[in-house]
Amino acid sequence: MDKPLASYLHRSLILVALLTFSLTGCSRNDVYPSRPIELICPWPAGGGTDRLARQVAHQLEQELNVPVNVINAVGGNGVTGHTRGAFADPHGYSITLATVELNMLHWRGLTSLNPRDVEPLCLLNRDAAAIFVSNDSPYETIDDLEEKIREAPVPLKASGTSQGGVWHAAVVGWLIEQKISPSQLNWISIAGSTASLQELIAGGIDFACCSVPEASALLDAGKIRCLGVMGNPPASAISSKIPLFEESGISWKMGGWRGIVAPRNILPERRDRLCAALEKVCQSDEFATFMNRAGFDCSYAGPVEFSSMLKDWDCEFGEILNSDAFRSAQQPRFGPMFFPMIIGTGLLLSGMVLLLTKQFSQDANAIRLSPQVLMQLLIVPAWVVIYALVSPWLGFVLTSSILLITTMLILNVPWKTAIPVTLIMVPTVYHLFAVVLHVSLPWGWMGW
Amino acid sequence: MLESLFEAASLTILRVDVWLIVLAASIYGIFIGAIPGLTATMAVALFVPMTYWLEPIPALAAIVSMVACAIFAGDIPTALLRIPGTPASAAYVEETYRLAQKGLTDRALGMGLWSSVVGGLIGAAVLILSGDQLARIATMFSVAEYFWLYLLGLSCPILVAGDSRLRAAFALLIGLGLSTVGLGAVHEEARFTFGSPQLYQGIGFIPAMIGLFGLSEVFSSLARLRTTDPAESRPVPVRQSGTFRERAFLHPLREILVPAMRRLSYRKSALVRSGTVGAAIGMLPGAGVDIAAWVSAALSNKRSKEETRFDQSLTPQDESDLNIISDASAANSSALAGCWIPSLVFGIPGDSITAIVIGVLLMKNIEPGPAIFEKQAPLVYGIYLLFILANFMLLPIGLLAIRLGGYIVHIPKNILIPIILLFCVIGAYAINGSMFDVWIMLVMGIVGFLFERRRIPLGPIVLGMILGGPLEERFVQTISGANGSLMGLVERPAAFTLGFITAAIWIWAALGQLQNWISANRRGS
Repeated sequence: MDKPLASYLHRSLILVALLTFSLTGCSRNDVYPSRPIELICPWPAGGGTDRLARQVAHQLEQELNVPVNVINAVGGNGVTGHTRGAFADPHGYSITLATVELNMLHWRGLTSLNPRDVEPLCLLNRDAAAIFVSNDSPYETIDDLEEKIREAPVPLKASGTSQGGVWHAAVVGWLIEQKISPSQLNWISIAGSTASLQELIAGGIDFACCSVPEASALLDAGKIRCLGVMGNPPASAISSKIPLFEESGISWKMGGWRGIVAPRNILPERRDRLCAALEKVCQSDEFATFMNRAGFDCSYAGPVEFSSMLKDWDCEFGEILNSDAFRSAQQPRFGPMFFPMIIGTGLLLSGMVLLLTKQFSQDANAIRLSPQVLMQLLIVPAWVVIYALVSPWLGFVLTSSILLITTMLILNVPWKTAIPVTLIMVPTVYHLFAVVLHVSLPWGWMGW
Repeated sequence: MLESLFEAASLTILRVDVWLIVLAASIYGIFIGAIPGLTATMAVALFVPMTYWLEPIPALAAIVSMVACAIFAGDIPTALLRIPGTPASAAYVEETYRLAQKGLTDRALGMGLWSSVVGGLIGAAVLILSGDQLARIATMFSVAEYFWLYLLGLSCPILVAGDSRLRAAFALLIGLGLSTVGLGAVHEEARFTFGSPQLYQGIGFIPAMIGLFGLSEVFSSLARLRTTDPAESRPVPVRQSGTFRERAFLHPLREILVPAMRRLSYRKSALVRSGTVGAAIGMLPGAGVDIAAWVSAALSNKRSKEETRFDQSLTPQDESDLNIISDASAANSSALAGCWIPSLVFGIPGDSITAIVIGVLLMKNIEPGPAIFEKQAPLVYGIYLLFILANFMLLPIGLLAIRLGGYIVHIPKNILIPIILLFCVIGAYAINGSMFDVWIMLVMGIVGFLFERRRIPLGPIVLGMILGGPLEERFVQTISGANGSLMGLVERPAAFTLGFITAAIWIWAALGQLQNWISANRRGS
């Protein structure tokens, strides 16, 4: 076994490498784009931003003739996705659907990432903020509400997004503009406009702030009313009866935006290729129909215009988010360590009781871990570690083939079985995930 | 109404292309659901670009049937590999796998399949009969009510933990602790990230779930492979002999469908209970399919009554396992229909799947809301019919999937283990496309293996990770809404009722545990 094993291993590895190459097809890297592009969406599947991302991906795919896969890198109020997009390899194969949070997160000290770290490609849409109350609310106009906020003995409860989010900033900016102290506002930090609107109709808050398309279903259902829009309302027909802030003599304007950005050092010719494709997508009828039906306000802007807008907005948000009024409006009720402290205490208590009553004892049926067994168990961490470290360089196909075949040989599978199994498994899995389902697999420097 | 119903029928069940789409979508759903790491939500999200060139009814037909199939298919890898295919199966991993290890895979999956079909139909019935009235209840739920609901959900695995509630509580607290990592919705700063931007998003529960259940099982199988001789390492083979006719028709009928059907005929009331509980929980935006399975498993009557013991070959443990599988599967399937209630009536998504559905509807120029019942009655009736059609389609497709999945147990363990490893890493990577999740999966796999040796259950860890964030958010939101007063938690009548129920269950559970402990000590001394 000892001599043949080494030579079999050697021979079979070469054979597998060659065959998998030929089965998955080789791709050259000098034509751009020659492999799938990832479009990072910093928000979860199912939301408005995700829907937009999937539309852009779908049309960009036809424009560039390579698959465009949407990846939802969700979390941290957008920190995760934006950071990942900005610091991805600038090879032009990862772009990001950035949102207004790019302008805000750095002012709030959540990340050092700011608009200067990205290369703006195009602006897709802008959504103005709007104020909503539940249908049975006593406030009929924005002036009623203002009056109430100004004079209420207990601060009014409002939400729309988490503390420090775009709709929070919009409300605080409006109050400052109208010379109302933001301490008259009790902003409840509820993530997402859907959950906030649910809270509004359940009677948990007095008013909500979000964009008109996010609220259109409930508006139509007659469950909520819109008191005013902070800027231009979307062009869709439903919003025609919606009052505007400027109609009440309030000049305050605020809203969110969505656009496509790339990592900063992207090669100029690839950036231009992407910009051209994106422009075509945004000017298409299909895109206009989509935006109109989804209720998004379509406002395309090219890279030059978009980057100057980004700079302006950044200053604007800096002013609000750094203002004393805004900072004083944020008073966290419970420190971030409150909940972990309770859990920690519970863990300590239950752990101690379990220890004292000897309930942590080993399962009598558990397999004894002799040194030989432990050695064998090491295969698993080794497998995963090698995969995690090597596959981003070598690509999915080669890494997994090598790993599959070596583990099988270690586990005494005859090589006559191991090689065919690998040859069937790896290309099948690759085609299934990367080609059919558009699910991301690690890409190496040679492509797949 | 009758007119609309006829029109709906001509739009749906009388069209060949709708049947074909339902068939294709069912197969696709089974497929995605059976791959660990790919959830039902992802199945729909990946399908969205296809809906652009479909008419509304075929598009909805595809979504309804793929989701129904994906949620059932999550049970298949749970039984065969102990990796839950979707988080909705996490509530009954131990039960399903325990049965499979005894060679009762067909029984467990047959039970899951039938219960899913019946549960789905009950859910559809709830949607059809009382959708618009029920939706009003959903709008009464504010953050305070959700706080209690999540707390109730979290109590479930402790209640079902038979031998040691304390160990289950310990596991739950570990899960809750893990959920605090990252930047939450209610706090200005991130916690326990140690400066790593990747930890800002927290520890994803899907890679954790794959690690805890899947990878830890790979460890155990490897250890077993080493200590037992190869002949024994093969699991109990399923009988596959006989003619083609016998294998293709008689076997599935005899071994998969009939025993489950007989058992269910004794469990009608339990099924109705699980179905309604599932639909009620699914209806609440922010609760959803996963929690429905947990709650229903907790409500399951663990001790079978005498009359259900018609099958002498099963131990009481097997019986109780089958009952839990049945109740939880019925609930998660009926919750799928429940999620549509607030979506259709108010345009408030009941879960992430219906959020995508609303997007698709808007794309087709259909605005969900009360008006949809008048303006688009045929469409609404069409959706009802689709739910019924999809659940009937699940039966043959699910049966086929169980039969095909059964071949996995014939693969020798030493070939299977590397392939499972491959699927674990792919699944962990796929959800966010991030290698960081692969590392999380590895760490959780080691944790799962070690915990299991100390008999600490793993399911509660997953539930704690799912509900920890929302629980804390709702708590802080309620308290800040009440200007810092704890009374905010019980001020509203609905919140008070839910809080009272939670407290009563906790006291009852604690007393029961205390009693057990005292009687055990007395016997010991």
